Amino acid sequence: MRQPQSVPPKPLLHIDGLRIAFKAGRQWREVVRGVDLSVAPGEVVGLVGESGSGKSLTALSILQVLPPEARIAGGRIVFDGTNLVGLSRKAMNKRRGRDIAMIFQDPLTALNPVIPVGRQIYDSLRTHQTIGHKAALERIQELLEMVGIRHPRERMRAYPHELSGGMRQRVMTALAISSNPKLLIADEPTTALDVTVQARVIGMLDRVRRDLGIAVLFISHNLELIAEICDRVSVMYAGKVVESSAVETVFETPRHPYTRQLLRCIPRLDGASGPMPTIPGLPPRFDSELVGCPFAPRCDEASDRCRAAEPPAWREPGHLAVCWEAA
Amino acid sequence: MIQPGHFFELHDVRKEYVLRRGLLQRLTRRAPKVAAVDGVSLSIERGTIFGLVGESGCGKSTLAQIMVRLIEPTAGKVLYRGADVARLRGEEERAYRHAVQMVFQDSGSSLNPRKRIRRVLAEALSARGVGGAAARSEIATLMRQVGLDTALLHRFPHELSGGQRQRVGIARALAMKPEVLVADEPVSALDVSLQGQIINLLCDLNRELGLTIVLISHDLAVVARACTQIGVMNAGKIVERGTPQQVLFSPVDPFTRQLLASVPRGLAGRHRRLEPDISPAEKALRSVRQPRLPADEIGRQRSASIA
Repeated sequence: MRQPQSVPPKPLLHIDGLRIAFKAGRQWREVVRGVDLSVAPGEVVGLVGESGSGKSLTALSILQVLPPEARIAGGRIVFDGTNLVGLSRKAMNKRRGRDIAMIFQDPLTALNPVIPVGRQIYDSLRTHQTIGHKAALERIQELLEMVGIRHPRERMRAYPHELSGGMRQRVMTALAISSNPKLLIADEPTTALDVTVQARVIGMLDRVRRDLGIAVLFISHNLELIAEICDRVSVMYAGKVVESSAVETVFETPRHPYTRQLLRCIPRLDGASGPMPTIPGLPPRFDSELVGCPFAPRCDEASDRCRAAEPPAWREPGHLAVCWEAA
Repeated sequence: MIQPGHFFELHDVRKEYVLRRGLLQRLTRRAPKVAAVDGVSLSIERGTIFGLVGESGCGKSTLAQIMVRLIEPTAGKVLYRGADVARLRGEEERAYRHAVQMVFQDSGSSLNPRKRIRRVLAEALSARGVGGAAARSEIATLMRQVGLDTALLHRFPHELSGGQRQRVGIARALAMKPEVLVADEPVSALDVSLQGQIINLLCDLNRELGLTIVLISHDLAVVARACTQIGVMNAGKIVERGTPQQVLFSPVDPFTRQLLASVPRGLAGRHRRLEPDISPAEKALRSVRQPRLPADEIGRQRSASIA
């Protein structure tokens, strides 16, 4: 998104033409194929897509914690004026967890299972900040209270497996915000949780980020959830952002057929019966050759033009759609 | 409430698990018990789709396993066509196990990774004594019924997508010529664009084969769409039962209301999250809800002892 209208003047995070390649046998296949994305200070940006769309890899690449079989093949990730791509490991370590923090879908694998949760926050505090022992202990309680954990003095002694899923997600959030990051990346933070717990965790996240003024990149496959908490949203399909705009625009006047069909597929509590709307077919496999618009085989509006050549980007102030038919 | 002679019935079914806390409690036999299923009575009519909704730990999967006799209930009865399922022996028991089939959430782990799809289905058929040419033609029929190309028969499970694997899981269940299909979270591992395909397939099978389906899900919207009757489960009990319209638009139980209120609702739900984290409704819910064992409680006790 190079159009300045949609992006506030000085984005905190600006991803430009990001390409990520994945090793498939002997060759490298591009699975993220030129993603542009920006997050302004204090803004909540949603990144939505189906599994395999490249949304999680995009998120992981920001912190440069990609799996070993993936690598950044091109583009820039500018955070706070510095291009993170090609930064030395040492320089990156300084930013990781301090300026940019991340919470994951499964806190049980992200938290150390043999260290009490309070101690994990303690270590993070002492690593990233000049803070004394006593002050750190007080800060842990403050953080745990902030994420809605009652009896923090007792709970900080618990091991991760002793906490429920919602509690663990709260602890991970406390850990993430302990270093006062400017950007929080939340990768499917509530997907493993029950809806009642999800509602509380989302409420907590929303309050915390407002209190601290943290920008959030919220990754989810759940469009309804994205609509509730994000300011802007980017929809990804087959490694590309296919539509991007303010959340109201994307939901009320979507320009990309994929977005429209995705919105139609969401099961709603409206009492409707009969067959559920679906998108026919499957997303392309990551190792398949893509010709034309990758969504064309599943699209009910596709023409020969769509199948032959990659669609251009259609732009309006603050709205982008990569589709032949959008214009 | 339950009349005799119904198709598939549960009478006051309970399943208790013993929590082994410590040596002393074990020796004194005072180990606390938790009822995963706490007195469930249900009657499922033939040819209907019955939806069972609840959150993790509410006992819905335990109930499913009791229905297909993977586990035996601690108390209560399961009646199938009027016969007490626990008393079935020999040929009758085998017939029941064929008649009531299960489809699992994670078809990836319920299919043997080293067997091609053809073999998965052939083995199911051989359990029914079908082999040779008859098996080959039936395999083709099964694949067509679940909407899969027969070209996929020589693939291994990992070479299929999640949706395709789930269809194989359904085909394997259908191979037993079942009367009842118990589907435990069949779509929760799938993307939203594919969920509808599987749910629609189940509805088609219900309509075309007259298959009775028990659809278990945490997603109220999915269940409401597909089912004729819904049971909402919480803490081992059915707390609400009715048609989708009744459950969605005039829920009686506070838990059902809480469940409905928690479902994200897009733009309409914007800014409602700003309310205080612990709402009165939630407090009410907590008092209704059985303590979530063991995580919370044990955590507290343990922390106290360490302190």
